[in-house]
Amino acid sequence: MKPGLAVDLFVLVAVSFITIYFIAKSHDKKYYLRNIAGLEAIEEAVGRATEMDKIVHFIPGITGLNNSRSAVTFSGLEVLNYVSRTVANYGAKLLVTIRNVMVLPVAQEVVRNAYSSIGKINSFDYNSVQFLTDNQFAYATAVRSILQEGQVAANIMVGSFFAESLMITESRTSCRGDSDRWNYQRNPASFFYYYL
Amino acid sequence: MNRNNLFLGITVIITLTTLVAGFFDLSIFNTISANLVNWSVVIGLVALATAIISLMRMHVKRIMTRRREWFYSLYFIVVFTAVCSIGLIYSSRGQPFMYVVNNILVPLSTTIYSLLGLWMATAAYRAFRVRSIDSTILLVTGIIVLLGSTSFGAAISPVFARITIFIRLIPTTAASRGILISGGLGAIALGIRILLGVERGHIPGQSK
Repeated sequence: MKPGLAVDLFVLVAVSFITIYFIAKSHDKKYYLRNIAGLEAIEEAVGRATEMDKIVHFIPGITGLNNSRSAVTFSGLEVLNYVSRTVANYGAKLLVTIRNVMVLPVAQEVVRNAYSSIGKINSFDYNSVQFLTDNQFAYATAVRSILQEGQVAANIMVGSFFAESLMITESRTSCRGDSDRWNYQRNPASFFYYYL
Repeated sequence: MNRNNLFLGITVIITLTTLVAGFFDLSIFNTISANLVNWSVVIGLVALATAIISLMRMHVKRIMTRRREWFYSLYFIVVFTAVCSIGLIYSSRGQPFMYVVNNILVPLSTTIYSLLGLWMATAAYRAFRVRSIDSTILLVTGIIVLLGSTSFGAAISPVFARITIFIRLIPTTAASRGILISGGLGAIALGIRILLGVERGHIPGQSK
């Protein structure tokens, strides 16, 4: 074994076993899993967007799939799966904007799978998942532009974000949409959920 | 093995190979892991080409259908083509391409970045409004840290600097590390769920 990694390996194995144990026990009513208000609010936001005939905008973070933040991006993609199914169920319009090129095909597949899983594959449009740019602030500016056009009723951001998250979420004051943000950042270390 | 399990199997094999290479000094796993990293670079380049095609298709469609503000799409295509041509002709490290980067891209990025100060101020205004006990604590802490980090605060009293150092070293570090460790444990748990096939929304052909 490489020197200095014994504790890391032990923690990894221990957490893995604990996770597997709780996955196996997940169907028991014995354990209570606290609901996350932000996730519960997604359905309401999608419903409101459907009523207003406007778009649900989603960002699965701005980092990629092959770095230390990839787990956060995967979390964002899992939530995207849920959001896409909700959007497809309601018959709303979805727009997913991507900053990292590696995430683009995966996000397209996630959305396509979600539409397919509820039998609405014909409603799926590959253009609903759109790469904007690789530059962080150009991306933020493009998203601000989309939000300020007034066609977005709900903005959902789940994933790894940096300074651009402030730029994007501050634009919601002028577009008067909903902004659900649930993100995890390592530096500065913070996990924060934001709902307006 | 059906197509769905094939993708899950590939995920499991690649993950375990990378994990073993990370923890153990076995040359075969290290070689495979290094190759996988190289593959990810190649896949990234292919993904970039796909993304550019997707982007161009969207902008061309906007121009063809004369959608609102279609001229921005035309502007994008012109600039994209011009910059790409400069890069292809003079290489991405050539003088003309670097001139474009240093005199257009860098100043624009810096300008947008500097605007963050404005948004931070508006966000801080809303966060610091005294509406509850929590926001009062946040306001008082914010003012103390602000005073402790500036020469103005130091001129009033050296106590502000000492309190600021305490806040940064003890409560902030403790809370940050707690969140960091929970995030790391969450990442491991998510990895296990992906490997077990519980989370499979990103795998092609899967449906829940």
